[in-house]
Amino acid sequence: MTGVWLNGTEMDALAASLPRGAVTSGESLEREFERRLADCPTLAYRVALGVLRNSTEAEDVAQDAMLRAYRNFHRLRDRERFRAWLVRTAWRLSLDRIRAAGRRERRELAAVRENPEPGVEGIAATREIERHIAAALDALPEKLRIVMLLAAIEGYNTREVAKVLDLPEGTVKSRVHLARKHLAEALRSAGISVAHRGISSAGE
Amino acid sequence: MSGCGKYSDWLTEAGVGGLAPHHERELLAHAAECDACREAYRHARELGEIVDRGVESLVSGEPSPHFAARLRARIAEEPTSSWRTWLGLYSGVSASRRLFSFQGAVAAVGILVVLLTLGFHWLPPNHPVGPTVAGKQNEKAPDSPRAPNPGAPIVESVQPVSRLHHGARLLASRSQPEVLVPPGQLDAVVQFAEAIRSGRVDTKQLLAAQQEAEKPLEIEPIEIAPLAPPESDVALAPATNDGRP
Repeated sequence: MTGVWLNGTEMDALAASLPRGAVTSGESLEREFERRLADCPTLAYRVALGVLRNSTEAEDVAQDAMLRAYRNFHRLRDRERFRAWLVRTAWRLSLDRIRAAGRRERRELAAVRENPEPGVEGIAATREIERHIAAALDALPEKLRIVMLLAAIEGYNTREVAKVLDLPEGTVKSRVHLARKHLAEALRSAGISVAHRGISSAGE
Repeated sequence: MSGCGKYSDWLTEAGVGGLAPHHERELLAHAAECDACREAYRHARELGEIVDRGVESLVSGEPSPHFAARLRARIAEEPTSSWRTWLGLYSGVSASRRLFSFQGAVAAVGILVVLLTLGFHWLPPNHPVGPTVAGKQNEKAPDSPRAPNPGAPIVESVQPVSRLHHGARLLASRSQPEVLVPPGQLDAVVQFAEAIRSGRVDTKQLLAAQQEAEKPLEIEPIEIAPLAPPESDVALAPATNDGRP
């Protein structure tokens, strides 16, 4: 028998030492997971979309990430910890997908089909810009890329990104700046410049 | 466009908002006088905007409206998660899992009973017992320490910790009970302890139920009225006595 003996005092001490709300019933955990389900899938989806650029695949990845989160939810009670874990998981799953054979070509084909923009004349140039930006993003080191993608998600400022990635805010700022600089240089070298500004705005 | 080389190096930085404020002021001052640099500066800023919008467009969008329903369906197909089922008592737990949990609990209780029983029998005859109960115990049954008073609670009749199997300590007192936590069920025990402490479990009701079960059977003594002698005997007795010399 390799159980642990605890007397009443020890149990009280153990329960008291746990974070508030760490010990609750399974029903309570279910309710908490439902709350996460209400506000976190979009985050996972957008992270995946930023990597995969295909809504169907991004949704699959977000599903997988949330399912994994469900399996590990007893360890992910804290909201920030949950989001950080979810972002990393969605990121990794997306990269795994993209590394699979043939994914890249399918993604590029799908990118052309998706999100038809208003205004026929702008479509081709907008797609060109998006392709260049996507290619430039792919060329970024991972640590710059994830910071750049998260910072671009609506509602995520430097502080939020720092929390999610468990990085100092200064590090996040410098990485975002570096990533933007790389992307701008990549666009400039690709010939994308002010000539496209009107076209880019047409997609808004 | 003399002296523009220095500023052209700053343009990319300025475009992504990374130029130091004093450099930016200097660049703007120069751009105010230099048409080419002014145009290049404007292009750089717009390129920065294109980058931001482009990346934002890559990560904008919402999952489909069916996302949550699909996820719930997948969760429903999952084998029951451990956090949903401490001891398998929650709804939605499969019958086999509940049975398994029940069997585990029964096994744990059985092992506990065996340990307690072994603890009794391993006590040496003159082994000192606990400080509070030792005197009473020895007074009541000095010659038979192996046969404790059946009415006495187990927790009060056996004390030594070191004699028991694998550190299985007996309960020290009723005010500070100990429990043996089977492997993997620490969460459940702590949850139970917290439930008691928070008042979610009515301890009085719990204890009352336990005491009710432990209460010895009360058998009222049967009152037997003394037998009255038969009337015929009463009638004969004086005659017999009277007949004696």
